[in-house]
Amino acid sequence: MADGNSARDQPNPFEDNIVFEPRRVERPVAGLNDAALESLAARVRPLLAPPRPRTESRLSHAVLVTSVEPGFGKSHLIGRLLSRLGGEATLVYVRPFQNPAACWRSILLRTVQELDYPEGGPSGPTALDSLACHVIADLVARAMRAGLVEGGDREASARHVLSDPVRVLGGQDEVWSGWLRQEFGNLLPFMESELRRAGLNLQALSGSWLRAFFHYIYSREDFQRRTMCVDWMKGESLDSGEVEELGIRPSDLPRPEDSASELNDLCKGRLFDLCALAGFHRPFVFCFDQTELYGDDAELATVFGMVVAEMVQNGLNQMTVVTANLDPWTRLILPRLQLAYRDRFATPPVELDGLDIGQARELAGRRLEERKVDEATAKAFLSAEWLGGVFAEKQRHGARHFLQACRSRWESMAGRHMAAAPEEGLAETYARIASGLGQKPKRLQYEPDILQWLVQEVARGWRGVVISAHRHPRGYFSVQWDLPGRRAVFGFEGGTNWRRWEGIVRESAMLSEGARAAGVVAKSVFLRVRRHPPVPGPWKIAPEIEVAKRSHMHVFRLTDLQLAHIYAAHELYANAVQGDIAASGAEVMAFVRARLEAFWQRLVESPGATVAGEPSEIFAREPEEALMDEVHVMVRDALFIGLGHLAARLSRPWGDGAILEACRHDPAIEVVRGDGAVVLRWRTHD
Amino acid sequence: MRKGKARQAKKKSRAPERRKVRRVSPVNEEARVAVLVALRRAAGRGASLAQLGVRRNDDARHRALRALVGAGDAVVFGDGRDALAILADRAPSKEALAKKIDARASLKRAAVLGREDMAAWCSAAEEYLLDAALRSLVKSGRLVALRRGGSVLYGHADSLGAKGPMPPAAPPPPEPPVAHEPRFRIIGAYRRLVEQGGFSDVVIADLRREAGMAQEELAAWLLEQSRMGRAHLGRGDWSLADDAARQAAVTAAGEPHLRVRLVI
Repeated sequence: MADGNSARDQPNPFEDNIVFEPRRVERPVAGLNDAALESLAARVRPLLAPPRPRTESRLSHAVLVTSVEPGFGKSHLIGRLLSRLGGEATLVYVRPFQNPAACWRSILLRTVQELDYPEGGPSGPTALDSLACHVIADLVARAMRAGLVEGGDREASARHVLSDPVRVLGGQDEVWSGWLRQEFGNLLPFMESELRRAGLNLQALSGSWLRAFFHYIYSREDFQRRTMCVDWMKGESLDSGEVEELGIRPSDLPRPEDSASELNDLCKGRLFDLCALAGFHRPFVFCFDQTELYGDDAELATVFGMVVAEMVQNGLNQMTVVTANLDPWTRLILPRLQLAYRDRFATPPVELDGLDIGQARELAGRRLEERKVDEATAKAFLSAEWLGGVFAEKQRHGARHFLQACRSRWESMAGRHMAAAPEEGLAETYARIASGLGQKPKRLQYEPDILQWLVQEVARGWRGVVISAHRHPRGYFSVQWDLPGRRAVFGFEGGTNWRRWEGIVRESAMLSEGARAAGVVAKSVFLRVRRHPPVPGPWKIAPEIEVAKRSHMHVFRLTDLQLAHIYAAHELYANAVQGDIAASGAEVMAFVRARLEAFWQRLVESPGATVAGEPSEIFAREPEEALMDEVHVMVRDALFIGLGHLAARLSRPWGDGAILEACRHDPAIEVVRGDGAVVLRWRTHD
Repeated sequence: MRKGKARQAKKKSRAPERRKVRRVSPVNEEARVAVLVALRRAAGRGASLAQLGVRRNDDARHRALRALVGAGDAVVFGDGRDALAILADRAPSKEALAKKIDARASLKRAAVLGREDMAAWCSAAEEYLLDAALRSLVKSGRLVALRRGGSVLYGHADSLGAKGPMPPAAPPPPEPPVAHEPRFRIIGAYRRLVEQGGFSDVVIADLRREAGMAQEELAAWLLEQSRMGRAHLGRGDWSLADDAARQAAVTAAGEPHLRVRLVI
């Protein structure tokens, strides 16, 4: 074959064929699924119509995007939609929730995480900054036009404020930002009244939203206060000091004794409030992806249908998009949806097409060009004979299927055998996904649904553990493990409200004592992430919690490295269930279960127990929290610092080994080794 | 002349806003679906307006039926309350009926047949086409029309044994495709499945059942259409397919395909 040497010398240009991140997609092939894109864009258009605020913009149906098999470009289409909307909408990518009783908490959490992420880089404003500034700017402009603000031309001032709310009120324009900081309290009653008069039926008081927005905008340098605002928006409890500081009305706060159902309802209210307030700025596009995972459980599928129906019914300024492969949708999900919920989907659905031969040639040709394959090799690769053969019996192929055929052809041209037994392929794929996620801080946020999936589904079959639901009335715990002589109950608590933790500790103690009476050693386990503040905080009940942590309560603060591997496991499973990789869901589960052996052991052993494992085993132990926090902050602030310098500035003499281990667990830090020197570099992520 | 001019002047003076404007109401989707379901149930028998739920002219179902006729999906024979509606791919044709009459009449040796005798061989829909079919058979010489008083009787050319050499029969006109040909059966079945399920990619096993065809015949036809780009085969999800779906899979490009989308 011509230029087999060239092929052999180069990496396979068709190695990576799955879109993991819809926001970063390949340039589309001319004509492929353009009609589908137009259909989606046309549906959003009514949500963009002036004037603002859009107080009644509601779409009558959710949109179902289907493909007959995996790899037809559903994620790619969503990415194209986002590009097409060009900053005119906020995309919220919703992964399947795991706990039906906390479905709205899950969606709200994803929404607020998405809003709270800087859009233009680490120091840029977040989408939440934009939303908050637009809401406040609109109301301030009304105050000006109503003559409540003295001095200056009313109309000119109002227009100036509305011209670029983020720049004018968000801090860049110091004069106007300073003015608003000073006058906010005076303007607040009018703004609250105007917000009510705008016809938005908010669940929380308008004053609470305005205060949360105001404090959020002006707390860019005050991480704690900003976190308080975000926690309130997520439906978390705040302690009394925080409430006082923000000025949020107590009636707009969840109570520590609220049931799981009440908390879920509160979160639903918050979510629809955000949708209503989006009328001042830009609509949401909620994309429910990986829907095959709802097929695992009848209750999950039913609740999913209810969620979509309520989004359509009650969600202003938003479009709900559900993507699915056709067979799982029609065989597993649809039969479990009530008829009324099925009617909430627009008909006909948006159905994706495969590539024709011209589009296939363009796609492959572009990939070869991007990977700088020489012309002769490229021409030989895309011979009419080969392409004609691929399209002989079928005039349309799925994009991924075609790229896989290209991958095989390349290997064949290079004289290599195609890898691999499924297990080998799985290990490579898993490592690649974990490494990729480690480079994306945005993907390492707290995702309680994935953590619950891990302990509820993946662990099944590990040493005969019996896994059951543990439905606590206040939602403290969700899952229970039972092993001979041992019990672990799992909670997924993202908040840091001390009163709630007080309740949790007491319940944990009761569980432990009750189990001991039956001859069983029991503990509660909480999986949190490094972004969560430590538990306990500087609380008056801290000593009680510390005692509990030594005996019956195990609070994990997973490192980013551990989190990347856990999320990679979920991604790998989702890819298997959706048919995106050759392995089955069961094979992936078995693979991941084996990989996390050290983790399962730690989950059942007493909190202080040491689990055997290689030093490289990332789940056998974590570096000290305090060390990790200090190293993270120092390297982030310095961007580039020698190991020795950093060690000298730490609060304790941790030792180089411990410091490097902390860096290993923090993908944001790169360890660069030179001649006799070790430097720690802060990675700049996109 | 003056009167006519006066009449014309009177017409011109009528203000535009007093003219009645016929409003065209949109077709109600629910009504359309109901009419389609009823037509499918009726199959080749057809359904009367009453059976379709049409209560009066221009009600929702009547409009839906008109829209279907306009789109070529349904045919209506007759008019008024006696009209008979039938799905287009089940509708009889004059040529098919003529063949049927020809075949049956040729078996009735030495018999003359009245219109009523031949009407007994027809379905309700076919009866609307009977006169036209008889005219074409007489014209082609397959039937001989005999008058007895005021009525017309027909004898088959074969059974009457015409004396003398018969003029050579004109070659029959090329026959249009009839509803029972595979293509129409498959397309009709496909349309029904898409209508019922809401998705363009139908399960091949369901298509086979709905079209009432043998697997080999359907698979061959689908593969041929796939090569020509008139059918797009989809692999679907093998792990979720039952035995029937797997058995009906069509192999193309070395892989089994569970679903198909027709380009129609």
